[in-house]
Amino acid sequence: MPDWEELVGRRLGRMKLEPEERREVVAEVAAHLEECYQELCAAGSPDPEGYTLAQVPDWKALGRKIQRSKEGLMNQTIRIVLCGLVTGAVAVLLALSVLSLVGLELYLTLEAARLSSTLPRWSGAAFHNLAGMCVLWLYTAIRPRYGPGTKTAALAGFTLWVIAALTLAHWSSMGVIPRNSFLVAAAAGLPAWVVGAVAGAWFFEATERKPSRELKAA
Amino acid sequence: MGADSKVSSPIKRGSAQLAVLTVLAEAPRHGYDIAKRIRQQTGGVVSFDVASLYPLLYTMERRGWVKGTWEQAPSGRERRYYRLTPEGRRRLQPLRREWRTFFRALNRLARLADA
Repeated sequence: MPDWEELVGRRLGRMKLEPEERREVVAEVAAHLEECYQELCAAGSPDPEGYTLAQVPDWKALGRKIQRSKEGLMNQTIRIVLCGLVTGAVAVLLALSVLSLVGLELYLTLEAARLSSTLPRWSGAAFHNLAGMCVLWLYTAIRPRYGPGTKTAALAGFTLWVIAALTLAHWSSMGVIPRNSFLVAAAAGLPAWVVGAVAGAWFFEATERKPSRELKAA
Repeated sequence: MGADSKVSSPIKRGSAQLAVLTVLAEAPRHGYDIAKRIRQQTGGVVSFDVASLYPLLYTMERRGWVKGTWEQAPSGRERRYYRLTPEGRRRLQPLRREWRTFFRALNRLARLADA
């Protein structure tokens, strides 16, 4: 008899669900196929395995359908947006606190730039909220691979910081902002975005449905 | 639902919720048992396979109409049994009425066509 759990696990392996939830789905679908197979064997079917597997013509499509059913598309999007706002808010508050303490010169430069800018006052907040959503989106994208939790969130926050720091470095090299200011901004941004990402990811996980039970590792 | 059934898929898709809720109103069942019971009760006209049953069950669970819990089946194997929740029971009544009205209307139409 085929090892149904191994077969289903392999074919639904790319399903983006929590590891525990994925194990539950795999165990459930495998049990269904196994029972179907046994019934076909008992009935004297000439190809019980073929008939059983014919129930799932496209495993990728099944994985996508199950994922959508489990998560709910709107639910996931709303959570990314709301928790992204948390990430952005925490990151900007932390960065401003650090800058006001250690990078007064840069803080004043930024403030002066903001006053002379033609952009509306809320544009900075909008940018940080958007960046927060990007961090959360990145977190959900890499979570199936690295697992949910602080490390994955920190990695997502760190990635955004690298992108922001490279942009600032470019501006600094062009003389748009002084080198010292770039270094202070980059130093303040690292803990801000990492902590912001961890906070956003914590809320994201807190609003997650939990599997009905924990299965022992397959 | 199975591709070999005799009723077109849009109608079956619409009635799938009714079928699952109805068999779960009788007793808690696991996925394979739900599919088997529906097949038996409908004389094979409506049949579910893995690809159609589980996405539907998970959607209904997310909406709070059914609740799945792992229990030991008579065979000794752990299976996920689905039960109707109070919300699912509330959902079943209007669904039954809607489909009864729909089929009565179709019957009337068929009788007119036959006359």
